[in-house]
Amino acid sequence: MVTVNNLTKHFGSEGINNISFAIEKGSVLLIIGRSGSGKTLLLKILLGLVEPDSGEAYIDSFKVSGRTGDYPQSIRRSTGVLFQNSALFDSMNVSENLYVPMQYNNEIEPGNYRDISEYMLKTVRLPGILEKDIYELSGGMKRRVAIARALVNDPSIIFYDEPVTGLDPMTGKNIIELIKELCLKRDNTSVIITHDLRGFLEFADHVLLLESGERYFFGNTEEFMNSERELIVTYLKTAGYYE
Amino acid sequence: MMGYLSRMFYNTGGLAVLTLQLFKSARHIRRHISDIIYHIYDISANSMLVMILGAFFLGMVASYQIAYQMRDYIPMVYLSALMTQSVILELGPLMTGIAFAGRVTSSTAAEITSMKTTDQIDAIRVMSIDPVEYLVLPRITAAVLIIPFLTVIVEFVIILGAFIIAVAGLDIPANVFLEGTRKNFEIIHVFGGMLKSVFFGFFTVLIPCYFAFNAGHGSKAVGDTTTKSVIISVICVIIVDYILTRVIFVW
Repeated sequence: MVTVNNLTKHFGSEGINNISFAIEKGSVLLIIGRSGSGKTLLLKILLGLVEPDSGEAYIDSFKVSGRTGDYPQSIRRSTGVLFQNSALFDSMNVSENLYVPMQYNNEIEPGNYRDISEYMLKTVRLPGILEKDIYELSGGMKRRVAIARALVNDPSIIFYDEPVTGLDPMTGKNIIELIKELCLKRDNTSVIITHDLRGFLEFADHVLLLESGERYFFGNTEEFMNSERELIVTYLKTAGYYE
Repeated sequence: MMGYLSRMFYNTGGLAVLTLQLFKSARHIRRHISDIIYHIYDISANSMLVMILGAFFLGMVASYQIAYQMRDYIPMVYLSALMTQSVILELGPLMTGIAFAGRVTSSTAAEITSMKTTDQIDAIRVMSIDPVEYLVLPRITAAVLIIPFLTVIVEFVIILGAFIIAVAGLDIPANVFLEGTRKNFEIIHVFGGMLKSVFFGFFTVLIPCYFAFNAGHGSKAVGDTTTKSVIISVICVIIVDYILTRVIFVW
């Protein structure tokens, strides 16, 4: 469960203002908005990387906002994150990247690292690349490895930050299919941040639309699809939902 | 001027906080043994040639320079006696510290700033890993473990360079040079120089880590952080050298 109450953070003239929403466990939330609308900032506050000016955020009833120094470790361990540019450790190979989160999880025996990594790579449809260096991978492959890394600790909540940005349409479509599969197969909560909602609306349960740091819309996907508000109609038209 | 001073105090405070975090994370050092070994190898393999080359020529220059200063006043047989002490107490550790700042500080700053700009440090945090423990602890441990030995090698090479010039260029008999070196050699001085170098190793890695953690975004941040780290590390090495020289001489 993710609950956000009146979250505000300003960086000069930019930031987010008074954002509130709540989603239940196991659901898929799509956070959309233009570049600079505050989507990634909201994510960073939820991950405890940025302190908000005011307001509160909770994940599974643990307060996570304003706790950059003492973020609840139980939440950290049950959170997987796909960063915008994958954020893989480029001085390591694929297996080392996948081992890092497991090395800090006492519940996984070191003897199982390889099996878990191989299983996760199969899950993201990239088997047999464990020993490859990161610089040998294409953008789409890096994104898949980053998703595998986000999954190795079997998280209960996964954040995807702009999962298809910078990818060609075909690779982007494959990544969306993969995320859809993961969202439907696994019972974890998923938060997907994107400026392009194409492909995501089919499996999202809720939509949060940010505009200039303000909450423009929050509701379930059906309400979003049926809304006649100008900006929502523009988004849906751009994504090809209207003729 | 006030802005510059306040920034200096702010950064000094930041370095102190990072040092505390580092000591706090030291209890997990066992997890990073392989990283420490890797960094020891990386530092030695990549710095050794630069240091040896610099040290050799420094020894030759110093030999000529001291001989020039001594001419007409002091017999040349005292050249090696003067050289040995100043190399072991001062030139060796300082040369190693500055070479370290050039090689290790710059690579550490560039590497960690690149990680910052590509969200890798945020990725480390959200994996429930302390970035200080993961990135700073192995690097600093490796630096403080290896730098005393590099210092001894540098000191030896400086004296070797001086010896070659003394024998081949200044016509000082080899046995006279070696006798002068032996007479003025005290093992406690070697330990004093090694102790100094440990502080140099500590600061030349701590400083780039601090600035990298606080770097901005984009490729410009990598260049800015690297430049700033190298300049401040070199200045820091000289200031720390002065403080330690005072302390060691008093002691």
